[in-house]
Amino acid sequence: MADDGVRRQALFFPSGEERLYGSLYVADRARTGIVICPSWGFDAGFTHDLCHRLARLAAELGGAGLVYHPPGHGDSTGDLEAVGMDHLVRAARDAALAASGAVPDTAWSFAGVRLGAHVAALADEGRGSDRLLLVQPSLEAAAFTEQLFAAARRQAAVASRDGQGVFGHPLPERLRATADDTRVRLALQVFRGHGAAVRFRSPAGEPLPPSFAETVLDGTWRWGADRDRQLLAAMAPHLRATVGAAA
Amino acid sequence: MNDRAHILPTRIGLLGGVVTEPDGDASLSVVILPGRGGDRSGVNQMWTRTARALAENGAVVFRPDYPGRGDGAALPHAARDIESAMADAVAWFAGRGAGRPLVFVGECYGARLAVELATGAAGLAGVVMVAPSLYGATGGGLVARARRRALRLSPVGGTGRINRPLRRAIADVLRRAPVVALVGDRDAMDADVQRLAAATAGSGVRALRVETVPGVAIHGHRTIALQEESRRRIVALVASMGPAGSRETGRAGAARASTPSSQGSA
Repeated sequence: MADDGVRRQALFFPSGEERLYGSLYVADRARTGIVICPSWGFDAGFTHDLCHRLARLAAELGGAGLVYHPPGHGDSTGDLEAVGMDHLVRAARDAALAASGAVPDTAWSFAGVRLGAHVAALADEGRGSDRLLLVQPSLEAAAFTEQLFAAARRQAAVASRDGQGVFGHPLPERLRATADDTRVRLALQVFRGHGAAVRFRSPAGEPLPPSFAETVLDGTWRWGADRDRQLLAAMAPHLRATVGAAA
Repeated sequence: MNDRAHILPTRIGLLGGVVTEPDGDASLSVVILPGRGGDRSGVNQMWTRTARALAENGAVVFRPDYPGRGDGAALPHAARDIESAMADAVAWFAGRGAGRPLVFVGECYGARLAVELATGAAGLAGVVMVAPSLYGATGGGLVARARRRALRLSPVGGTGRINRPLRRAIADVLRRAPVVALVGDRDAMDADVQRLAAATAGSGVRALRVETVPGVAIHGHRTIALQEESRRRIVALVASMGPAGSRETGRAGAARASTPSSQGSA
């Protein structure tokens, strides 16, 4: 089914024991695509529409984009409490496989939003991809999860009255236990393709290797359509270069 | 139980939706409409899990995204766009229903939309309104925001005037099928839901039935325990509206079914 020249397809694909939801945006004659790795838990919920807009923009620029729901998220199966970084990375790679199956003869690389940038960097390890795009990246999973634990402690009387979770989601115990920030830093160091990152000046981001083109936007990042629009606009030239790379 | 992903046409563009089917023959069709601020899966997959639980009871369940969200993120999402697109999405699903009875479940704005769509739906078996938005204040304008703020700050709730077309739509639906409101007694709209139920009790047809969960605000499903509690109650309410359930639900006047919550405290 097509919408303004962009072919749309929704699908489920396997990842280990789970069935994951994926949503494809494909231009006619697309030769390059990006798999958008989402963030985790409620952060993934608040940045989900940005993932879709990135995928759609990739298609509007002549390529393809795939957004997927990681295990325990959205329409996918799985238990969020049991999801570790290993599951998230496997899901990203399986999403790329599903994308290749659905749009043959297309080269796929990864992009990641927030904690999805961490996932994308690990999913790309050993693939030799030409591109890696990071959007408002949270590369340090330890800091990301600690923020959630701190929020749960702070808001125990308001948002997480049962004391079991944070903003209606379970606490990321397994994610914290399985994340390896050193491995992500190394993966970015050895990445030999064109890497690009877009983020707001505040909060201060983790340093990226000098080989990455980094666009820093004035202001403070927060969830919402206004910041999403700015990130999308800043990412557009990198997306154009990515989807045009193999054309 | 099996989830199927769909991209479906509406008059404003393509929307995404998931249909969850039972393993055997379906006896009931259910449409789930989440709050407008959320996506079709809900907080911590609240609606995804509810759909799967309903499918295990023999229902085929449809969860569409709103325009402007998820698969329809690029679509226009003014109120009229949402209403027309969701009417098309529900018509698409109902067309696949093979004459099965149809139940709507909606939360907040989705509850209001559920009642509006139910007025024209064939084979209607009931509507479950979860922490329904009863007011004309779902927009982002100053008046709407001020009214929502007044509701939040009110010690008793119910300071907003109930939307008149919604009141009429509920009365229309009650002539054809039961309508149940699931609220927490700490939800801002609780007092107005009770007033509405009392008003419909004297109408000579079915009354709006209210199921109240004590000690909590259901709206937004902000805790895991509340999500589980709400899911359990919704599954039971929908079952009561299906072929195997009692068709008498809500016929006997305004009922306030206040049952203990398994969530110890709020």
